[in-house]
Amino acid sequence: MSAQTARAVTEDERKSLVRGTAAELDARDPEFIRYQLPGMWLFSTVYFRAEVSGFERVPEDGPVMFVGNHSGGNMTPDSMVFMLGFNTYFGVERPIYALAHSLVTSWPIVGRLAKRWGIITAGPNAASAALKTGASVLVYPGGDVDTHRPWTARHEIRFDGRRGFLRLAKRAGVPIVPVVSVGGQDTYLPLTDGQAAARFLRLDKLARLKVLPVSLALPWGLNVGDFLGHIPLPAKIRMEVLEPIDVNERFGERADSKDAYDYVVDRMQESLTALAADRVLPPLL
Amino acid sequence: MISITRSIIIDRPAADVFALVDDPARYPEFFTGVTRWESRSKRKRGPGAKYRVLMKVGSIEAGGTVVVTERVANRLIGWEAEKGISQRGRWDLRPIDEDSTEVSLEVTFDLSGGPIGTLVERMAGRIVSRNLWATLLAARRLVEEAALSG
Repeated sequence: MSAQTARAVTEDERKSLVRGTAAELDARDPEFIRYQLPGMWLFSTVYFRAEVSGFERVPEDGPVMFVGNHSGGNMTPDSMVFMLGFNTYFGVERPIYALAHSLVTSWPIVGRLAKRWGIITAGPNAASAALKTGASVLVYPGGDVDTHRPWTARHEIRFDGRRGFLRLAKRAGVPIVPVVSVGGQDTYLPLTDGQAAARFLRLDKLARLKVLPVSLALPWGLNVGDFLGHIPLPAKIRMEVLEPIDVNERFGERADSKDAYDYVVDRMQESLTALAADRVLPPLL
Repeated sequence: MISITRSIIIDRPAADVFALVDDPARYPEFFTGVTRWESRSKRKRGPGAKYRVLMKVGSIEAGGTVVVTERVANRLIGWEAEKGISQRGRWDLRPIDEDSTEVSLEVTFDLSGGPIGTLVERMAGRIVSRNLWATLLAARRLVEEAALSG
């Protein structure tokens, strides 16, 4: 009896999850994105003087999984540059969804706007569902640990050993396209990601947060948590889209193994370091 | 929406100029800012021919798919966007006399985006305008070089 009830609840939960994802996938609004692109272009070109390269390496058709490192705390200017780059290169007609922490999509106004951009609540089911529709997805495996990494680790790929993106690529049979960027960690001054403090305060259990970052940022000065975001400084952002990696072809059944993880992270670290070497006078040039 | 036209006089007959602009495979070579102009249809020339096109504008490359809407030999070629950035463009060749041609290159694009869209159209328009002028200078050089070697 009790087992029956438990199963029924699980089934309902599953259905509501699928409905939630379906609603988020439907929320992507190409005309809204087209309308917003000029403003993004201004920010990207004038404010961050972004340099983006490598989109020609992306297959012209079919779903791919972009795997990126991201920076800049909760403001992630590099995500904006990427979404601008993808939507202008391939046109708003080619669907792409970016996976974000539920704290982003559940914000009252920001969350609604984000969903119209194709930002969906992170989770393996959400990403699978998006890929099944033929759309591409953008994931940041390192999540909060990556974007809140301290300034001293600004040129480091920090995926925290998370291999969910590889399981996803294996299941969906799609190639991984790594994307690396530098500059975001100079748009403010992250002092510590506060992983120990987050564990102590049980933020992981409460809000799926592994970090409690402390930074110096405008307009707050000392900024604990970065929950309200901040005003990013106009540091120069460089971004490169790398050669696709077909983890299924390269690693077969072991596409989600530690070896595959190391392979992807090593490729990305190599390119990130090269990109960082291009910086002449950070954060300006 | 913003429309940009640049013109140049090339001291060669219209047919010589047309030989160059009628070969879109060569656009990435001399169309400044264009990073890609690839055939996407069986039809390689004339109305209905489709191309995947991209132009570098500021921090990004913008483009989409265009389809040729008009082609009159030695006179004009026009295209229009099917996907991506909403735009159209055309080469217009007007013979001045037997040995010289006025060549115009026109690009019109519409970014939408309200007042910010209009501002960005003007900023991007300046980039496109210089690209078109550089393209015409390159076209003049190529047409004159071809005449010399031919």
